[in-house]
Amino acid sequence: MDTPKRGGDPGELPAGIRFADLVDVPGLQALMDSVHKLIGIANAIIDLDGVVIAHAGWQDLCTRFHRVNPATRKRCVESDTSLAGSMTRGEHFAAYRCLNGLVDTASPIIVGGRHMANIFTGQFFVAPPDLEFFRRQAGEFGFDEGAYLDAVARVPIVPQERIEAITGVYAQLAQTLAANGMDRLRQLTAERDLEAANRGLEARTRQLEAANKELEEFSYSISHDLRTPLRAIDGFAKILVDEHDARLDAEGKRLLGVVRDNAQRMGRLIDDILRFLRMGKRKMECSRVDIAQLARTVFAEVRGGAPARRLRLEVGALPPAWGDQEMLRLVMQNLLANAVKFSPAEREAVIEVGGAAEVEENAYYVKDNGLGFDMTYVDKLFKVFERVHPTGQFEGSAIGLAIVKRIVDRHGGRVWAEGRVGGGATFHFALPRKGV
Amino acid sequence: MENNIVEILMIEDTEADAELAIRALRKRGFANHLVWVKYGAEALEFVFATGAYAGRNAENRPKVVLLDLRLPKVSGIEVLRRLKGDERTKRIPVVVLTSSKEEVDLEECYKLGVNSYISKPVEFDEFAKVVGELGLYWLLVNKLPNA
Repeated sequence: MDTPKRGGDPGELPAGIRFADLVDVPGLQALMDSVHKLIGIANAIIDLDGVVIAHAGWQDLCTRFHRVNPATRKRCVESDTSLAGSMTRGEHFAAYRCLNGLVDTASPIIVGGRHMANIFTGQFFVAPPDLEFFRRQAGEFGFDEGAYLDAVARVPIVPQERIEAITGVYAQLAQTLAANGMDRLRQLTAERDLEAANRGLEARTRQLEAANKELEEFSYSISHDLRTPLRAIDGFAKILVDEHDARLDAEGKRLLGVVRDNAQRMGRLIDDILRFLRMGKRKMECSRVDIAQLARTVFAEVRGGAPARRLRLEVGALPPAWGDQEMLRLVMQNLLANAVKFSPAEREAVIEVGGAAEVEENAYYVKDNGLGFDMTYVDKLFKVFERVHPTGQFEGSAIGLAIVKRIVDRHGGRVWAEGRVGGGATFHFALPRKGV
Repeated sequence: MENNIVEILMIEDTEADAELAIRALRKRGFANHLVWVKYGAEALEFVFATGAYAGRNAENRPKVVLLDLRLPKVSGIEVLRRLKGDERTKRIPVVVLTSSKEEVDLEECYKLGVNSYISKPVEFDEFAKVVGELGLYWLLVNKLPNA
C-alpha cells in the first residue's frame, strides 16, 4: 500500500521509519489498558502494514466467535479493510457498522504529515442489539447460541451522543501520540545529524593527522637532504682554503669565506626551522615554572655568548607560570637574545623583565632600550621569515619570534609587542593561570 | 694477513660526506685501515664475509662501525639490527653518524643497542672535530674484550 502524505514536511521523515520506532510501545500499551478500563471500550493501534502496536479489551464476541469462524473472520477482515481504507482517503474520523453487526470507529495517526497508523475503537452497539439477528447468525455459522448471546450481552451499548465524546478522547489521544512521535522523530533526526557530523569530524581529524604526519616526514627530509649538500659546500670550501692556500690570492680567499659564511648561515636556518616544527609537535609536560629564575639563568647564558657587551638585567616581581619548562626557556632565550641583538653595542643595554597576575592569565614582558621598531610592521614580527630589519645587519634566521608565538599558542596564551623606532621594544606574553 | 686488518668500517652513501670524514680521520692518523662501503647490503656482506667478501676472514672484525642511517635499499637501522642481533658481531661498537635530527631515529637506535649517536654538524670544522674525536675514542681510548 502506498503511503499517503498529507501536508507537513515529508522530507523531515527518514524513509523506512515505522510508527513503532516513534513511540514507547510498552508505555503506549499501559495507556491503552487504562483508557479501556476507564471508558470500557476496546481499542487498538494498528500501523499501515497491519501490525498491531497495542490493543486492549477486545470483545469475546470478536475474539472467540467472529474471528474464529472462517466465514465471519472474512467479514471482519473486509470490515477492517474498509474502515482502514476510509482513513487513507483522508477522513479524520469514521464510524462503521461492521458486517458482523457491531460498530467500530477509527482515527488516523499522522506524524510529520505522514499517515503512519490508525487508532481503532470498538466494538460496541449504538442501540440495544437486535437479538434476533444474532440468533440467526448463531444458527447460520454454528455458534453455541447461549455462549454467543452471553458474549453479545457483554458488548457495551454506547448512546450515539457518547460516541462523539469518546471519539474526542481518542482523537486527542491520537494527536498526543502523534506529537509525542514527532518529538521522538525530531530527536532521532537530531541524533542522526549529530552522528553524521561526528563522522565528518572524525574523517576530518584523520585527514589532519595524515597531513601532520606528512609535514613531519617533510621536516625529516629537510633535515637530511638540505644539510648534506651544505656540509659538502662548507667542507670543500674549507679544504680549498687549507690545502690550496698557495694558489689563492686574498680576493679568492675572501670569496671562499663568503661561501662558507652563507653555507653556515643556511645550516643555522635549517636548524631553526626544525626547532620551530618540533615546537608544534612536542609533547608538553607542564609544571609550575619560576619565570624570574628562568630569566636570570637564561640571561647568564646570553651574557656568556656576548662577553664584549655591557648588559644589565632588571627582574621585577613575577608571578609563576604553568607550562612546559623547556618550551618556556626557549621563549625567554629568544626574547632575551633578541633584546641584546637589537640594542646598540656601544652603550649599555638594559633589559627589563616584568609581569603581573591578571584575573585569568599571568602576563609577562621583556623590555629593552634598543633600536625598537616601526609599529606599522608589528604584524610581521611573529611570522616565520618576516623581518623588520634588513638581512646582514643582524644575524639570525628571523624565526625566533615565530617560535615564541608557537610555544605561547600551544600553552593557550597570547603574544603582542610594542615599539618605537629608536625607543626600544617591549614583547609581551600572557599564559592562562591554571591555578598558579 | 696484513691487508685483512680493518679498524674502521664506514657505511656512507653520500660520497662528499665520506670524503670529508675520511679526510678528517686521515688528518688524525686514523684512516690507515679504513674500509668504506656505500650500501647496507655490502656492509653486511663485508662483516659476515659473504657474497662479494666471501674470501675475507670474518674473524677480523672492525674496531668500530660508522653508520649512516639513511641508506638506499638496506637501511642503516636494518644494518644496526643485524649487527646487534648476531652473537658474532654484537660486541662491535656501532656509531651512528647521521644528518637526521629526528628523535624517533635516536630512540630506535638506542633500543637496538647503538653505542653512540652523532648528528653531523653542517660546519666542516665542527664535523672534522667530531669525526676526529670519535676516531680517537673508539680506536685508542676504548677497550674491547679480547675475542
